[in-house]
Amino acid sequence: MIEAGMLGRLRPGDHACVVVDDDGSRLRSLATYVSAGLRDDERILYFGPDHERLAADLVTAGVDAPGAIRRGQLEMVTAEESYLASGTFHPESAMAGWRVEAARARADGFRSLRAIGDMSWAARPRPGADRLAWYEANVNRVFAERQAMAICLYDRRLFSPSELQRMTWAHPAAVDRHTGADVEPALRFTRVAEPPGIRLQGEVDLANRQALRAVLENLAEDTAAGDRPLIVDVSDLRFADSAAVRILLRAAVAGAPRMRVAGCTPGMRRLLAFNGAEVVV
Amino acid sequence: MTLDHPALLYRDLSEYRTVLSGFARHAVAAGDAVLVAVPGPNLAVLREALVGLDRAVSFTDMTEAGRNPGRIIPGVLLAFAAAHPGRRTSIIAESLWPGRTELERPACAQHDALVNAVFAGRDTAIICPYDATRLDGAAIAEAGRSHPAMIVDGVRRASVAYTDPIVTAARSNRPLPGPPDGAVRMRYAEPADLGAVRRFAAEHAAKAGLAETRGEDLVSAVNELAENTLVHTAGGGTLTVWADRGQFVCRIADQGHLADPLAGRIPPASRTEGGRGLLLAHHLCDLVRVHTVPGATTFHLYMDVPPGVGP
Repeated sequence: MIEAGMLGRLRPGDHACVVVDDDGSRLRSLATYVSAGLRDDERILYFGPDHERLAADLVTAGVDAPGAIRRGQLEMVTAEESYLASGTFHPESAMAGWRVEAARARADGFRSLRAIGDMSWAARPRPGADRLAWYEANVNRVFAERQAMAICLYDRRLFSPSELQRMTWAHPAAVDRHTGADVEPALRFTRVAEPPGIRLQGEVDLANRQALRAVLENLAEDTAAGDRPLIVDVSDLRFADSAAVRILLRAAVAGAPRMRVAGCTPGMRRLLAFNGAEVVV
Repeated sequence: MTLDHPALLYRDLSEYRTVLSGFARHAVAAGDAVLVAVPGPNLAVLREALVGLDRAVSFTDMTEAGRNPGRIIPGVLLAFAAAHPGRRTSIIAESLWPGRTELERPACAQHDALVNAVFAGRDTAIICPYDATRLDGAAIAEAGRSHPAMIVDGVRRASVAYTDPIVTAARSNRPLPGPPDGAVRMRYAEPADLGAVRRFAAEHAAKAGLAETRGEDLVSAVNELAENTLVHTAGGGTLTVWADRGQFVCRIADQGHLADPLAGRIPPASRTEGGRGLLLAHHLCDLVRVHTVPGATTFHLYMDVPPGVGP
């Protein structure tokens, strides 16, 4: 069951939007993702409702959730008793919370943090919920540190198609009922310390460019580099559409002379030239 | 501050050389930025005639820069004007030559008509030579419709056939030839399908013998148009591909409508992120043909496959 699909192959740093259609697809997604975390010796942290029912459902799906809970490997909290405790959604606090939880997971002896966010709360009026798309894009800046991974569960029955689209597009990767079993996460970010900067892997298009934008626009702020140049390594970026290339270009121009784009393919160079870049690398 | 856009119907290269080198010399003397954008053999003729003026005149092989007629306005004419801000520009632009195919000719006609719309009110001269000996009557008639003035046998006259450039350009907005038997297709309906669209185009382009870099360019163009489908229309789209007479063709059909006749011809303001899909397709592909009516738009992207390659 673990190997079936992208959810069994996510790695620390990944941040995937999982759109579920019904309780059955929700459970299948969670069972795959949770059992991969048990396999990989990770702390699994579930932010969502109905803990007892989920534990029982996971058991029927073949996942020893009660055992994992007893060992402290699987933890369940509601959004209301964690990041929504104040009654308002604060994206910045939620982003800071990831670093705390990732550090706690490692302190408890786990290899990494593997989180699940059930986002159903955002379908109801809630102060701060209007900043959710901003959060989903900007939280990639934290996951790029590769200390934690997360999936965000959006229930198609609760959100309008346009809301779902906005949320999905802020994630570097997305999974829904149409996603083939062999599909990899579309885009991965890896913050690099030496030389300081970020590495991009995969493909950027309409479906995930808001994630790229948030990561690149804040790269200087997020990278401890002193006065050294910041490198955006695109050598493993297999595809970038014209708008993504413009995001890259704008970041490079705004970050000049500190920021440099390295590893452009000839095709990307042609796109950069088309978009007005004289010399980039 | 007006556009001067005459067609020169030349009989032979001697006339070509005399009239056009005279045009260029006059423009240089007046201080204009001057560009000669004509097919290679004719380029050699004018280079030789203008020897000594190399620094004042730019030369471009139109069979490359204008391989796709749809990129001449943004990639040649507007680009030259942008590179010489504040100066009047004088350009020799030969976009239709005898080797142009039946598929290319409507794109040439559309381009020539739209020059009038894009450069209206700009202080620029664009003279368009037509080979009156080798081009057929239909091509010459088209030149009359798209140029306000015609120069024939050394005499310049207003063109009686010249009409509203948008109306003239719309004459080339006609149904495209359908895919042949053996064409393969895929549907796309949401952003998650874009990766599959790109792989489909790349795989079939490689099979047809397109070099890797050209395949990448085509994939970029296809992706941009498919994104436009997803952002601007309802109902998704269909990508159909086939190889035909030395070309690889990608057909993108959706339910959109390109209401702006200048779509894809004018670069948007530099700060905007989108709005470049069709412009990029024109830039990257060897030919782009479009048929658009309310509720249905079809794009054909053509890439030349080198002879001796492919199935």
